[in-house]
Amino acid sequence: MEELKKGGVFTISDLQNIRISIGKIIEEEEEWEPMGPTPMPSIATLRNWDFKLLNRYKPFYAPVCDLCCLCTYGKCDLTAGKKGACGIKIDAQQGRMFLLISLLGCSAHEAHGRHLLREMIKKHGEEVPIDFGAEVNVEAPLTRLICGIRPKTISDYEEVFDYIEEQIAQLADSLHPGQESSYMDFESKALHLGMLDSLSKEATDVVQIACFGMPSSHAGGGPDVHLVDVGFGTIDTNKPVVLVIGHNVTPAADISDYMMENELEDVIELAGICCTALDLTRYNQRAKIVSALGRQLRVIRAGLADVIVVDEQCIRADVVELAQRVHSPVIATNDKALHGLEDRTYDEPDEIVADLATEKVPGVVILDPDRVGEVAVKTAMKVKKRRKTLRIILSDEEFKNLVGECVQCDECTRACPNGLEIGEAMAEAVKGIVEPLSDLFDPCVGCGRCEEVCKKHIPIVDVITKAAYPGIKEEKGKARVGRGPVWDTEIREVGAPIVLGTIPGVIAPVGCGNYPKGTKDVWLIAKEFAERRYIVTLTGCASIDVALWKDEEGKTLYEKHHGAFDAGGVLNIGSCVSNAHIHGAAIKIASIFARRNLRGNYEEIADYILSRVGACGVAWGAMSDKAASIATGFNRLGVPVIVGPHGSKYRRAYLGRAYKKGDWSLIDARDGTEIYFEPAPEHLMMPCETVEEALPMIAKLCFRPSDTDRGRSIKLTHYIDLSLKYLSIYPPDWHLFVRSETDLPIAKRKELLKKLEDEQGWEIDWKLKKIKEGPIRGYDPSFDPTNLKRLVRKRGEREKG
Amino acid sequence: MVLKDAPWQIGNIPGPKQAKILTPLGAAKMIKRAKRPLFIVGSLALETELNGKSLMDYAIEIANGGRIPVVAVAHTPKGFSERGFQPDAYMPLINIIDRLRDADWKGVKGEGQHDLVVCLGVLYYIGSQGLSTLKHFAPWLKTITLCRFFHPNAYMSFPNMKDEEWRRYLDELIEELK
Ligand code: SF4
Ligand code: SF4
Ligand code: SF4
Repeated sequence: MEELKKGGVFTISDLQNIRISIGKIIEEEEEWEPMGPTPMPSIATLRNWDFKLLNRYKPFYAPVCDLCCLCTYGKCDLTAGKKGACGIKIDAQQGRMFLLISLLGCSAHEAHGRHLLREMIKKHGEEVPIDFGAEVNVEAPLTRLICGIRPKTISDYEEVFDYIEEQIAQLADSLHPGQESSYMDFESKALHLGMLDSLSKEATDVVQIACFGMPSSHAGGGPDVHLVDVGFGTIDTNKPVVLVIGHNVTPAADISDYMMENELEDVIELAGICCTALDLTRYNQRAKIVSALGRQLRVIRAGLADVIVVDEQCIRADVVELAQRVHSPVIATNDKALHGLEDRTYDEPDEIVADLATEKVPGVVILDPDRVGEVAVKTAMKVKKRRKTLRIILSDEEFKNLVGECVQCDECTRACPNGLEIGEAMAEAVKGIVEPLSDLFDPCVGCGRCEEVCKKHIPIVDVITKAAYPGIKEEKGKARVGRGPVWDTEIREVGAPIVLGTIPGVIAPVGCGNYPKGTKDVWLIAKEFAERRYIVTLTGCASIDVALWKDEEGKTLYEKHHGAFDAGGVLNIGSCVSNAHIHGAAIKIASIFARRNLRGNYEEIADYILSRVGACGVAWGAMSDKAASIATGFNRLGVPVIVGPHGSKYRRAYLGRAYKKGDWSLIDARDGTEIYFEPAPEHLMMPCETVEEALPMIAKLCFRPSDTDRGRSIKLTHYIDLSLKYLSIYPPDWHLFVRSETDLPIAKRKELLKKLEDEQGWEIDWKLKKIKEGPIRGYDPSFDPTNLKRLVRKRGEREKG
Repeated sequence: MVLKDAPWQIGNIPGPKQAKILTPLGAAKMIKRAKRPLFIVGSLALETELNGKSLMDYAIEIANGGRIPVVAVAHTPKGFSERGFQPDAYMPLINIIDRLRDADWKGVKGEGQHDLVVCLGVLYYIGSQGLSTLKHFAPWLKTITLCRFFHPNAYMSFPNMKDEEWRRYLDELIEELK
């Protein structure tokens, strides 16, 4: 067989007991890096790593429902330790539910990627090169890390998706009654799904960057990407408006192509909601982003769109009904979300346009993305003429009458996820004071539940929109388009300061818009940390929502801060699938800066990141199953995540217990010594109640055992300062992070030493201004922390240092 | 008219075991009887006023009257320090719930795990999640809630009320604790 691999000649008669499988020619991969221990891990391969995490960051469960109804024995009552008919207990059931949630999330990303890959191969062939320019050599860090593959063309991702799909099926199987029974194993499986989710996202984004020429490190990419318009007020409704919603950009790209080919770019307004909008602006910089997901219902009901094109994920289930109310036809373009509409893929475009424009049908399905553009654009142009005379926003008279109908029964407040006090605001509006109602526009998450319960049938969402309309019309923000991968050259510059702690952290506000108090909080989070010279990397709805807010000079954060992966940067990485590049940046720090091997070497890299890369994900408005699998993917790689209070309804957190010394031991890889260390990072996944609580917590979760004293003092400064600013107290645990006096910020050293002496009973040598006794451990600049015994250096390596 | 013992958030129906309605007198008795009660004060206390009096002030009066150790959660330390009141501990809600479900934890005063938790002002839905954790995983604990929202996941909860009635409930409780 060696002969065969080398391309030598052989005769069939030479072969015995050999099966030849024809259909795929496997080329020998060049040795670009030695293969690590776990290429394409299966569901139990990384279980030991997971258990290390789970023993320190214990699964915490908050059941949303005390019952189980997953088989016909049920419903079973699992309250407080009662077992179900199959023998399962409430903790395992919660682990099971979280695994199910992660499964849905990961499947969405994977299926999106697989669909995209198929379409792209059909359109461009298999050989589309993956070339992200001179600054990005490590093009797909997760693919290299998890699969051991260095992808060269898009077809290399066939194998990656095959692997993920097989794993998804195995994991789905483990959910069945009579399969997995231990909560720890359910969690390990959820972590596996989280990892697969991160891989799915990377695969999807790599394919779309390669095929659509989205920004990477070619000219105009990276820190230099363009700014695009964001907000209700940026949409020119004098033009026909095509509104795209969802996550899979292929149909939207076809619309853009059709407009370009027919020179309609100045005639038609192409705008979007959610990740499709983000990806569309990476393809066509004249496209606009109307809003993130949280405004979907309100944008549709405000009647902006002359045609609505939906693809997949996060589309409202009642999109057709909502659109019908405002006479906007719907085109569904993805077989996973057909919305009950008729498949007209192969009908004549003009026939479809006529049926849509005359409202003969409320919408159609067009499954070939290359046929969407013509129908969408022509429909918008026709419909615009008819819709011109429509008045959709309530008149002053209608508004007055409707608010007068309210009987302040509070039912809407009880139905509202954020408990907004709508009745009280209505009562004020009756008196002519509309601010309380218009103030509800931003904290409203646009779910529509209030209207479902109002016995007076008040269109509450429309009433709030009317009250806020003068402001909404002026909503004009700016966002950088998604830049995709962080450059290898950037990592070379910042790898050291991140690991040493002098860049105090990478903060990643990501995900959906289920905020407890509106979009401004996510802006505040990004602003605080960018101003403190952390690196702020945004993706998904969060990257859109921050663009809605401006400072006193009228500038958004994107206009105020640079877009490089460096201290003080505010980067829009891209859509939700792009947030794999945030994992990618952390992985590249391990590989490019620390020269660890990536290939098939997940555990070692995750161990490195957990101990040395001060990064924290913040999904302040986490809503979807995808957000859960995204967070879990960060967690397995050693990156903690904070979610907003609604995230408590994911029913699971991973919490460290700082007060349990035994949970906090590490190995010094220099000689294998066990070291008890400060809780850094303290938690892996936690919900916070308010943004004021979250801000110091985010800073705290950036501490790492590898921090140098200078880095630690910077991190400590921010932790203490944020706590004083938002909580008016010193953090009660700040002393845990002090290893020596040099960890204390110089300007405050004396004051802090005094506090340590007075409040913690530490022994201080005041002559030398040194700590004599107190810290959990001393500061050792050459400490080489690891959680993995196998990484303890052998004698020879030790001598080399 | 909202039912007194319907979950305040309409969809928050957990299962067969749900809270019973708590009266101010009942609350006072439980607090007095408890060996190691704990008082958790959450973010809504900063935002809520009853007849011009902040819920933070009610919280302080309840804490003082019942001599209950206080855990300030969310950003309530701000409100406490403005009033010159020193809570016994500060930590996020999720962390105090995690400690309360740990049989080995020695309580905020290091004297042993608590046997009663009194909640006021915690954001409804995250509070409900925390109460669910305690219902399932901390069998040694009783939980009571003093907000004007019925909490089915508590052991006992004040009923759904309008502000005026709630104010009377809180005043009565403070009176009973004296
Ligand atoms: S899966 Fe188990 S707990 Fe769930 S309904 Fe069936 S028997 Fe009951
Ligand atoms: S449910 Fe309707 S009537 Fe009742 S308070 Fe809300 S808006 Fe008013
Ligand atoms: S649409 Fe807005 S106001 Fe109505 S229930 Fe949802 S979040 Fe509350």
